[in-house]
Amino acid sequence: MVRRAVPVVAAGMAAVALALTACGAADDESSSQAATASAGTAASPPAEASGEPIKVGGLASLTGPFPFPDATKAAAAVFEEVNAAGGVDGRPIEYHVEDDKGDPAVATQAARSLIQQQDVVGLVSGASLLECAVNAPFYQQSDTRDVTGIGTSPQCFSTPNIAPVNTGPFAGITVSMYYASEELGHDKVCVIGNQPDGWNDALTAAVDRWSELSGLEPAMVDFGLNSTDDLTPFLLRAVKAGCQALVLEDVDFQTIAAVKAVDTQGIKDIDLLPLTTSYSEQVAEALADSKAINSGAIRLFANSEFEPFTGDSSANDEWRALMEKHGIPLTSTAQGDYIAAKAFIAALETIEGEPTREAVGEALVNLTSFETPMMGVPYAFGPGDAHNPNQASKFVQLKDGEWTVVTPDWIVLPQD
Amino acid sequence: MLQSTVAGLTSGGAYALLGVCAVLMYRMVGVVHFAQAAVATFGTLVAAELFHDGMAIAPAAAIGVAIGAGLSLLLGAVMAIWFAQAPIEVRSTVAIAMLLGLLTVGSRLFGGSPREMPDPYPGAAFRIGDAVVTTSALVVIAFTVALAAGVGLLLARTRFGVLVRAQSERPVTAELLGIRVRALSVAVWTGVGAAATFGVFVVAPTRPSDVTSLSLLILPGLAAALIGLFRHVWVALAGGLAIGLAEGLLTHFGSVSAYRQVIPFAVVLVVLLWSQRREVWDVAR
Repeated sequence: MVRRAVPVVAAGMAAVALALTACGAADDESSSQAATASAGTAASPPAEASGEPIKVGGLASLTGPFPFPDATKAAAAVFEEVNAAGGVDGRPIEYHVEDDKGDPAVATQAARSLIQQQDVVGLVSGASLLECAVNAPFYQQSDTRDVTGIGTSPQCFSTPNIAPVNTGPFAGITVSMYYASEELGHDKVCVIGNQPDGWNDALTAAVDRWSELSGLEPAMVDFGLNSTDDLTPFLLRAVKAGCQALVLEDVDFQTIAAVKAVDTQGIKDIDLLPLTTSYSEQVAEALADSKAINSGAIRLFANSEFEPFTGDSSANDEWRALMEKHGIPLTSTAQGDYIAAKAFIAALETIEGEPTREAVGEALVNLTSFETPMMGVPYAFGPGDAHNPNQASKFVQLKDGEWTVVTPDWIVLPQD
Repeated sequence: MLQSTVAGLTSGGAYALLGVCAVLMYRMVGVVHFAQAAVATFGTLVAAELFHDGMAIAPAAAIGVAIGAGLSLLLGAVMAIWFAQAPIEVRSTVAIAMLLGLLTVGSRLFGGSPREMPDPYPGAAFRIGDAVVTTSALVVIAFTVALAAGVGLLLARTRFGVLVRAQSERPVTAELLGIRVRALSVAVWTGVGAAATFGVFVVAPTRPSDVTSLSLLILPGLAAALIGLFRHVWVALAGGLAIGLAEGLLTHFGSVSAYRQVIPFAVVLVVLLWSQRREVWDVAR
């Protein structure tokens, strides 16, 4: 009996591990439904503008193992407003959204369907962990440019045809470490995080960049975190290493687990700095009762890639009004999508004549400074082989279950 | 070092419990139950939602455990009705399908947004030097020991136990003797489902609490069951604890830390080779 169990378990575990960690096929059934549903809502019918529509594509992980269900909604809302106000040159924007389901094969297909079949003139993509990695070469071949609201993987920030609006995890790590050393005055800055396939070089480069800027070496670096890990041993190691600040390149679930571990272990005198993903109302609510945070034993900061949305900053007024009108949750993702759509429209408006894919591409290359009060530096697509225009963050601190802005001025990374 | 190792005790407790549950399921109803942790995750997240909506922790936990048990009952019924006579490979494949189905439905139901997990046993139980032994680790380990001992007694000493053993070893004979095989196996599914849900509920606050992360606790759990060769409950229990402690220990050493996720798979390989060591090549193949 046992002899039969062993191979079954071995094969089964391999199958499960493959299905979940490699291709994320787990979500197939549900995601196709979600894709049609959200494509339905996203492709807004032209209201006021008539004339031949301008087709714009959007690609995001609306479902899948690391889903961003609200991605592209804010961009769709911007396009809807533009259409209601007469469109671009009287022509409405038709926004076609595809769900990559967190699956590389689907992402490949979706990009080809948008560009070759729908014949979109450009992309305003939302958050996805793999869209850039899978499609960057195809965008180059097809001369398509993508203004991504939320870029995640290294290829989003290192290829010629994609220019994300957000700071991203890599500049995010650098700016968080920079804030810890320069503003909080810590010498011993550490970083732990997840390392999806192919992220290693970019993560290391982000830490190295901080070393160059600050003249310091990190006291501990470990990018071997896994999404299913108990974070306790990592935190204990950081304490042993004498870390005064610990940057967490993680997801919100892990931040919550980390603070729970801090509470249980009685860890104190350390600043935790998770990245933007943890800057949300849900995290604030989940950590409202943390003894360690409320007693001041530790401090929790997060970088906000855009003007912090939890405050009542007037820089966000227009965005907030539009989100509330369309019932879209106020999140960093929604800010990124919003700015991406606005920047794309700004580029479209400079085009004289037919907005073909080539013309849009040229307009984006010429878009070297798009000012918005929601970002610390102007957005630029521009020429160049790599784009990471957003080099700024503000920092928020969690106090009594609420995020408070602690840097009224932007922390901008010095350019070398 | 001791600190990091002891920190692995909470994980180890969870692995041990799931390992013990896996052995029980294999021995009593003949299935390698890949969906065990996913079922437990369902119950746990329902409890978390109820807690979030203002319910006290005890009733929320009770309802969560009931949901876990109920879901397990449904899956057990599916297995008993349609796959009763199927070979173990088929039944286990059905369990994998159940896991994938639950993950899909789970991420739809519970979504991608983080939530506060109710912590029934917060804080530290005691300290060994710098190392903190958490209350939840102790509770889970004690519960697993009680479960292993209780089921052992149940199987050996009660009429119910004898019936369960009969239906697991000779299902057809048992059925011909008038034993209600289906009802028995569904009862086992329900009981083990409830136990696993309780365990996952207790350790959930210390872990990333999304559907996938919690459901994947089954992988080290099954590795623990394998250490017990799917036969010895106590060895599986010890194996689960050992895997947890080893993970904690490896995290302490930066250079090998990245490889600790490999542990369950390495364990499977070793047991696979060990259990087949006397096989003649042609036969084993």
